[in-house]
Amino acid sequence: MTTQNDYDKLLNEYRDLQLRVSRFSFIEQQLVNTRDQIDHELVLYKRLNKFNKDALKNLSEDKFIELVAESIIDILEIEISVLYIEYEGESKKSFIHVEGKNFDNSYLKMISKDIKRLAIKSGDSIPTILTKRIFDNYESMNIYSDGICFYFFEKELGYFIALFGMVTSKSAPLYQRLDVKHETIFGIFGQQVQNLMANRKRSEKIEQQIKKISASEIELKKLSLIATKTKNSVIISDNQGRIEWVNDSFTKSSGYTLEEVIGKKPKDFLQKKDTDSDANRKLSEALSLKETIEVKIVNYTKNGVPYHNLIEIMPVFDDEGNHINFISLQKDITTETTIVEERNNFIVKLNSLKFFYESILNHSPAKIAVFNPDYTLSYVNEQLLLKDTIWIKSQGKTLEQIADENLSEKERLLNILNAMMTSVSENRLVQFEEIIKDKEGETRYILNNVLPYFDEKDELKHIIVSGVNITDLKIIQNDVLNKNIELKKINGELDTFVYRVSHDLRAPLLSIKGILDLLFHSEQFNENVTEYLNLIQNSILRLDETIQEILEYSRNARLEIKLESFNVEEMVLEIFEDLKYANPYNIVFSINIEGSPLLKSDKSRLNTVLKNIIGNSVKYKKSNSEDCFIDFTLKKLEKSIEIKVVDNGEGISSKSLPKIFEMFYRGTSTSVGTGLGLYITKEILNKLNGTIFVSSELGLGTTITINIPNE
Amino acid sequence: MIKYLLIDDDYIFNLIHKRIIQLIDKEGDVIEFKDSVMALLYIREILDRGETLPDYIFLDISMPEMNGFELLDSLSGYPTDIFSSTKLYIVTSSLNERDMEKAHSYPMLTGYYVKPLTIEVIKEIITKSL
Repeated sequence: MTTQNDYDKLLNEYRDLQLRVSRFSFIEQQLVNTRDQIDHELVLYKRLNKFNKDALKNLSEDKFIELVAESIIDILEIEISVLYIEYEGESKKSFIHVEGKNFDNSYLKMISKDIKRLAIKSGDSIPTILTKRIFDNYESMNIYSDGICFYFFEKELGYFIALFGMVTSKSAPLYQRLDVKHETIFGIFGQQVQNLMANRKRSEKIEQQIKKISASEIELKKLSLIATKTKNSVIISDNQGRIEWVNDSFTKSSGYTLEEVIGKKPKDFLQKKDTDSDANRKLSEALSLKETIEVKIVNYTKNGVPYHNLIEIMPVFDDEGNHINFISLQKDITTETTIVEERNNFIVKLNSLKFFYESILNHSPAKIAVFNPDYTLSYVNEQLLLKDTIWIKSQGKTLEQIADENLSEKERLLNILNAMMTSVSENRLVQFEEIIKDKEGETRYILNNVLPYFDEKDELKHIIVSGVNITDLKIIQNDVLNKNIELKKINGELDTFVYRVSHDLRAPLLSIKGILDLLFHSEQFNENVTEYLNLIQNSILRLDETIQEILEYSRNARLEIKLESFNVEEMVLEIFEDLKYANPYNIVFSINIEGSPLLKSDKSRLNTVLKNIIGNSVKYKKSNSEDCFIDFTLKKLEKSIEIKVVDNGEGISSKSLPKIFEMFYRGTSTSVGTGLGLYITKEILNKLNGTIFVSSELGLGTTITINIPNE
Repeated sequence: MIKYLLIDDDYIFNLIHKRIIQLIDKEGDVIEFKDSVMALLYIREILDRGETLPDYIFLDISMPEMNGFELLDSLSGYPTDIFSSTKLYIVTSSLNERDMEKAHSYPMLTGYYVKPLTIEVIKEIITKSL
């Protein structure tokens, strides 16, 4: 019994034990499961931690969003994650980011349509499990069977964000069903994202603010720098026009310091009664209307010196549109005003000068046209305009163009053009004459002067063409020419007359001379008759001499100088021979010529001169002397020829000496001369631009020196 | 017998010259013309007959109707050698240079004298050839 009992007892215990074991193994299993679960959760929380760390790094917004979406998949161990952001404000910009396998991107647009509506079904900042039944309400979402959502709306920062983890129906068996556990971790995750995002946005805003502030600070600095340093006066006043600040330039130009003027209105101390009331009225009108205005006004410095101001006043408004200030810029235009006045004065002067010169040009009898270096017409004076209508409206045109428009004048105009081109290329005055018929058909002679004007840099500035009517001059000139022809004719007649005289007057004289000669040779006369005949012969010779000298005088007066080369030695010898032949005597004649005996001069005239001088030496030799001489010397000087005739004849008394060149002067009543010889000699030398000098001593001899140009 | 031809419208010169010639050459044959046109006709006749011209010709320049140069010009149709055995002298009262210059352009001229010819001059001329 005991055994049975024991067995039973044992069996019970065994059962009990077995029960316990199975209980323990269940618990153990439970424990293992729990441990695994906790291990798993630990992994997920580690991932959450990692996200936290990564998210705190300085990521761009795109990277941050990508990190958030990736982390949803990691933490929830889910198929697809979605992040949707919508920004508040005018733009209402929204953005969606999807991560996960098996997600068709073309699907994205459809989701974004429904995703916000889906999200806000649940509460703000609370994780919510989404079931198939919920997804089925949205056409674009009905492929999902399981999901979780967390959204938050940051009104202050202005954005809405929804986070989703989702599993498609197709993949559902491969994923753990979402439960409280997921809700918990997603809740923590969501809040973290919420905080991170808020931090990011806040710091972004702060950064922007800082940037804005520093930017406006720089701007302010710049502005104040400008206001301080500008040469223009700057006044800042309150909305009532009372001065709050002025810059240094204001003090400099007005003489007032900031301390003196603060709180005052500018017009109360800058202006006087005589200040332009019109400008003043405009100014106050604009100020009351709070408009920008610019006026010129005369202000007065502290010392009472007026100065011209160009004033610009702008009202300043704050962001709310409240009028807070006036800014006034004042530019001292006193010098500019003076310059303008000076310029005006200058223009007046210039105009009067222009008028002066134009009136000179216009009242000049010459017709003047001025051309530019490109041969276009630049100026025409009134004289030309009055006479020649073709110049009207021709300014700026070239002569060729003007010629083409006035074919009848073409040749004339092209002549002028040619003259202009010649004058420019040769840089000289070109003159040419034109003969034209005027409107009345009268012939006019025009003398054209074409002068190029080059400045000191040798640059052609303009070409001046001036035409002078020389018709009157031309008529006189023609008159002179005709008279000249007439004179030549008269001269020719005179020449013929002289020739006739030379022949006809001398012929009978010479025939008497011939008969006398014949008489002396063929007949014998008693002494008385011979003496009479000798007297007749002397008279005839003197008359012939006189006729010859009158002819020579006439020839010298009428005939032009004719230069030719000749041998002076031969000429002198011939003269001497002729004289010797006419009245034989005993005179030693010597010729002394330096260098070549060839001369170039007026042969005939020089012959007359020498004949007279040597002839005188012969004529007035000492009648009783046996050793008479005549020395002829010729020297070529640099520019002239010097001829000396020295004799030891009777000489000339000092009383007679000054008169010997007078017409018909004869030294003595017994002299055999005509009184014309030396007169003619002097006349000829005058004509030849020569000189004659006589030195003589009565009873000793005479020296005659003549100088003629060496041609 | 030497032949002398005197052509001068002034008969006194012809007379003087003729007498002077006759004083020197008593046998000389002196022909004188007062009229230059007649003188030209005379010269032409001689030439046309093929005879030689007188040994001496004294020719005045200034003559009415035809002057001395014109007379010489009128003979330009004859061969140039017609004066080869003749001494031709211009005898003139003109002192005009133009006449003298012009005379130089007549190569047949032997000389140029201003009137009147003196016994000395004619003697010199004639004795050269006597």
